[in-house]
Amino acid sequence: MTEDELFMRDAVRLARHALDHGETPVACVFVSRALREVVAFGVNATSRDHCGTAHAELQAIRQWQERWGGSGGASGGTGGEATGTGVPGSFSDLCVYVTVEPCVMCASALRQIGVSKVYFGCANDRFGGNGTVLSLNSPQSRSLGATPPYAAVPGLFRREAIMLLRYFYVRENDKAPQARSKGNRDINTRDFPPLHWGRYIGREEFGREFGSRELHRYDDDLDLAGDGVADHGIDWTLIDSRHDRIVDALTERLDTLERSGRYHFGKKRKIAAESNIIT
Amino acid sequence: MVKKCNNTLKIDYKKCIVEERLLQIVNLENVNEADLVDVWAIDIEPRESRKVIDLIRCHTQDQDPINLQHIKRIKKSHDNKTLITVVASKELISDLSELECLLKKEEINYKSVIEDVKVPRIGPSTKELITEWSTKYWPINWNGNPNDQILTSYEFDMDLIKDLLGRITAKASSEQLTGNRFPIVSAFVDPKDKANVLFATDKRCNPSYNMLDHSIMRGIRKVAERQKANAFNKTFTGTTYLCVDYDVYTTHEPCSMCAMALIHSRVKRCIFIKDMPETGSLKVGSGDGYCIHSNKALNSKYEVFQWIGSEYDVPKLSKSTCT
Ligand SMILES: [Zn+2]
Ligand SMILES: [Zn+2]
Repeated sequence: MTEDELFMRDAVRLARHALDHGETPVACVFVSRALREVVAFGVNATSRDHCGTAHAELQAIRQWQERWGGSGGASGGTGGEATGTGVPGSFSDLCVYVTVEPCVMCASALRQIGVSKVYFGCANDRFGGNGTVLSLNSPQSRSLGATPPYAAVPGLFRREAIMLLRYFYVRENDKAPQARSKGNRDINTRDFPPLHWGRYIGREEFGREFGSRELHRYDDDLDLAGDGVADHGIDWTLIDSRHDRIVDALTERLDTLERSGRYHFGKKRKIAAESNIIT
Repeated sequence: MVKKCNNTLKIDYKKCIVEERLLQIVNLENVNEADLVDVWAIDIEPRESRKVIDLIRCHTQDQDPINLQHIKRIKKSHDNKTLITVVASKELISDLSELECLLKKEEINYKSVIEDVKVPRIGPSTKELITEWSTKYWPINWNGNPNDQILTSYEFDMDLIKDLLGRITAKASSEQLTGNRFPIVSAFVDPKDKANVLFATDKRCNPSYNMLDHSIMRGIRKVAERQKANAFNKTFTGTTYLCVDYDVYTTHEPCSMCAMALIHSRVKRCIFIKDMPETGSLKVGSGDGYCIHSNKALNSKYEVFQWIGSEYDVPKLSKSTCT
């Protein structure tokens, strides 16, 4: 299993955790590309917070800022160049693994803080901001100030992400007062819509990500793991078991990283100094 | 038929300006390309039409999320012997069994259900297009430019609007004076609790916040916190779910993150003062031209107006600032 897959597995476990707590099953982890370690994570909390904007990505940004102390805005404009590009603690060192394509709001937020890359599981058909509805991450999008575009790569654990959403919608339907079409409650575990890779990344980029042997998947809109293999290419144990310890486990990993002193926000001191003027 | 408001507002339908001050911000670029919606139609004998019309009046017309006032409900079938009648949109009635159940309950005799009928979601903006659309899609009534009716149906409390725009402008100026380099302010008004306005400032420079704490994002959070606090308060009469039907007033045209956050929060209207030609996401000519509030692909919608009078002087920001 690749490192990218391992990070996305953490995101999928968190999404399952969200489902078990009555939230839309979408979650993410932020990874430092230099350290190859999780530095923040977020789970959808729209229901708990009574707030339509408490999406996983924004929760992770908030957590990242609270733990590592970066305000980012101190550099002015829209850019948040914390320290030099790509060094631990800078926004441009962050890579996001999220189970569902960021919506337009979150895609814009990730661009405004300046993350370097996003991996997502399945497309967000209604609100997707990384290629499905709009492409806020693309170089053509110029309305987001000075921050650079970022690559968004779909496909990792896509079917697992879709299945979790299906579990959620069936539950929601049952809760609705006029629950109709009860016959439709059997969850579809076999059919998955084609993945139109070309909407999100170029063919070459796909080859670099997943290897040239897999290019036929790009050409035929196929999943990375899919039809013809056992269990429809789905890791059922990942989505069908509860992951009650996942939040604690990730928090422990962040604590360990913090104690190690290997990761910190570069401008901490400077921001504290500026804050005297602001108040 | 649009419910007429009993106000006497001056509306310039051509320029889409209310009271010479509020410019309607809407993407009219694709308005003359029909946006089709799926509807349920049934094939009936002419003598059944009375009963079907009654059914539409009592059970579907007012409940339908798609307003179908602009289409003729009945047209003749190809052989001229029977009538094809549009009963409801598929957004109101999602599956066939539900439709059949309703028809049975109302004792409608019908020959068949025609499944693949599509009609324009809203009528065309000019009379000339009526004939074209009627032959191409489905017979349509001319009730005037649909946007005129939309404008007529909106309600404006000009005194309240002016008061709030004055207050956010004043707050923005004092933010600037106290050193906030992003003097952007928004006000959130609950339709059921108009007296308790929530104001939010941009906090991206404050070290206990982050660079995404734009005034609109903070306002939405404040509304959520108020609702959480009121969740157990039985005397509370305000809205308890997201920002449903809220009016939002803001000094600068929102960026794409904030504009989308307003869709997630289900606000009814956003009025801004200063447009942001590079980073804005509502005006057709702003930024990448997303028109997030009236983007067909994003489905959900809210009303947007820009105050075009010179009464409110909001702080100037650098062009590349996302607001
Ligand atoms: Zn989002
Ligand atoms: Zn904004």
